[in-house]
Amino acid sequence: METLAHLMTGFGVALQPLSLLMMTLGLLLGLAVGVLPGLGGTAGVALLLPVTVLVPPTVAIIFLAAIYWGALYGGVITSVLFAIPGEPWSVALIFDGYPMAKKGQAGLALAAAFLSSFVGIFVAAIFFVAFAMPLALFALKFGPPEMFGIMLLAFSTFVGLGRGSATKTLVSTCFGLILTMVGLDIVTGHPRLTFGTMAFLSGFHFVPVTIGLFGLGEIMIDGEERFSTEIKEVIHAKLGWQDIKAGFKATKEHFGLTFFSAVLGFFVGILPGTGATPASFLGYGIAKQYSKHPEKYGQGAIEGVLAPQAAANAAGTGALLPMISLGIPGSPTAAVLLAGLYMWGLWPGPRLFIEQPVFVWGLIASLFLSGMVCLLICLLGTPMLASIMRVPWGLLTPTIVIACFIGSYVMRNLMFDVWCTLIFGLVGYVMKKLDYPLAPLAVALVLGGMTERFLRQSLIIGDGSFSVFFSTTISTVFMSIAFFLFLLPAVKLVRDKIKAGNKIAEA
Amino acid sequence: MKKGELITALGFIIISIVTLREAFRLGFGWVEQQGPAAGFTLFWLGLLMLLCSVMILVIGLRKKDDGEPFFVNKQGLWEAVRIFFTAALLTVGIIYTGIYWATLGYCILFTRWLGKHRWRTVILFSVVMTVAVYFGMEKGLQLPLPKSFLYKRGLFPF
Repeated sequence: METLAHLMTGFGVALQPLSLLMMTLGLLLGLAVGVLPGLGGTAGVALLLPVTVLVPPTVAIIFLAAIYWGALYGGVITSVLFAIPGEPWSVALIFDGYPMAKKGQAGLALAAAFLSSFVGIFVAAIFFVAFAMPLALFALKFGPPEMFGIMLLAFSTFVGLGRGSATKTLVSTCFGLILTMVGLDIVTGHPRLTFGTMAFLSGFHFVPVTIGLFGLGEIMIDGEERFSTEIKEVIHAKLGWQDIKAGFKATKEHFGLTFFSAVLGFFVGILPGTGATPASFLGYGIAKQYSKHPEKYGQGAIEGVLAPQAAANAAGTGALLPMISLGIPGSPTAAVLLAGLYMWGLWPGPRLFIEQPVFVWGLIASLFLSGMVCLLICLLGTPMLASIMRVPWGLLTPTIVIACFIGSYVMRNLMFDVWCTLIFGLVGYVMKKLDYPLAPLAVALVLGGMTERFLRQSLIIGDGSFSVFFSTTISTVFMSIAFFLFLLPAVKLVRDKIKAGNKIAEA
Repeated sequence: MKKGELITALGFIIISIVTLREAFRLGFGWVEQQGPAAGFTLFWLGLLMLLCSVMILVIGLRKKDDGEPFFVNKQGLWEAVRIFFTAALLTVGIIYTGIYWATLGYCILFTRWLGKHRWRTVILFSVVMTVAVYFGMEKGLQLPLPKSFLYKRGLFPF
């Protein structure tokens, strides 16, 4: 009952004219970001982070979160119509969305994808409301060792559950953590890794580095690949009333699958380091595996559109839960949102629910509203959104690059930050080409300072003994899971080698 | 791809060594009345990164070259280089001429050289972009951006 009262307060905030205006603006920008292949949701949120100093924090978080939802929706259009994923989480949608469009069912595929996105966000928002407060209250019992355990858990999920090389993930994480240590030491005040230069004393700010990694780096890759990727048959976007009705009917018919995918996506999204992309593939894979007619998948099955989209959007919502309740971002975009919170002087976690209830519940209420407004915008404005793709590359790219540089400069009014964006653009380009994951680097950049502080505080409490991390049940559980996840790739490697050895022996 | 993999691993090894050197300089042990020394976290992170980078290097050396080029093709490489080069020029331009003149120059260079647009489009786009940035940032959002020496001498609005 108390939760419901809080939620009503949140709706009161989210329904204010300024909040609604910024939410709609954020959704439109997010949709544009989702449609454009050269700019991701993370870079979009990072780019607009400095702008939020002009509005109150509650409106600012609603605006940034709206960009995030918009980007989640935006990838649908390019995936279905052009078979080009605007965002990585839209890849699974191509498998059946594009064949449907080729069969002349583009409108139905779009309507179904938008409606399932809405179901995904709505179901996840309900779960969010149910879990946010208990999780935050549970976290009230956490001291520095528990908090360090949870930080370690966040990094370990990238290593244990990530799809790429574990060593590269570790390098990426360490690199991000080392970058956060450039500047003055938080405890002793000693300059670290500054090499006697004044510029390094202020350290690396999260935003210019993220804009470089995810913005400029992505633009370079996009520029390089534009000669090798050919746009497949372009299908023009038409979304009539008949399509919307058919979309409703399809979603209703497969509501069980859509709902299940949303629940699955939500829980995948909660895990730090996973996010919407694996959720969408998992949603698609499970839907296909348990389908009565799996042979239809890949040929234009409507279930192949509903399941990944509901899962991806629910995961996007789920990724915000650990961020707001515990201060751990579930995805790189959530990490940028977290950086925004710090920028406005707010500390996520249990105290935020007590000290800033309007902020927290305003954001939660905006989850429901954003889902609805975005659905309306998409259903009405798809042809216009698809036309963004037709803006010439030669005009779009310089616009994005200038936005990247201005976004980094205005954070601290330092040219050093502009140089950071440029250099990290190159770093991001090389790392992405060599499959070094960028998400752990981004998360490490946000959590690095806190992780070090909790580690050192814990060691001081334990008088230098590492046993402090196993002194309470909660921290023991966190540390054990974290170590298990860190060791998981090695266990998998040994298991595969034994299996391969057995096969040779059998042969 | 193999060469790129090895060079990057070497780059990370160098960063790890620099981090470890810094940790040694600052000290990474236990300091009475203070707790872990300033280089404590740096030391463990540097060590872990060094181990992982060496592993990547060794795996890379033992692996046969997959033949896959680092860049998509020559045209792709040239495009990536040109994007970075123009962005670097923009950065230098901001220092010497302020953001608005640099934006104007960058837009002209990019749209003509990389975008291959007609001069009419180039001029129109570059001027509109510069004016939009000025009114959007300086006037609209009241965010002061770097300006040119002409502004400092009171000769031009930016």
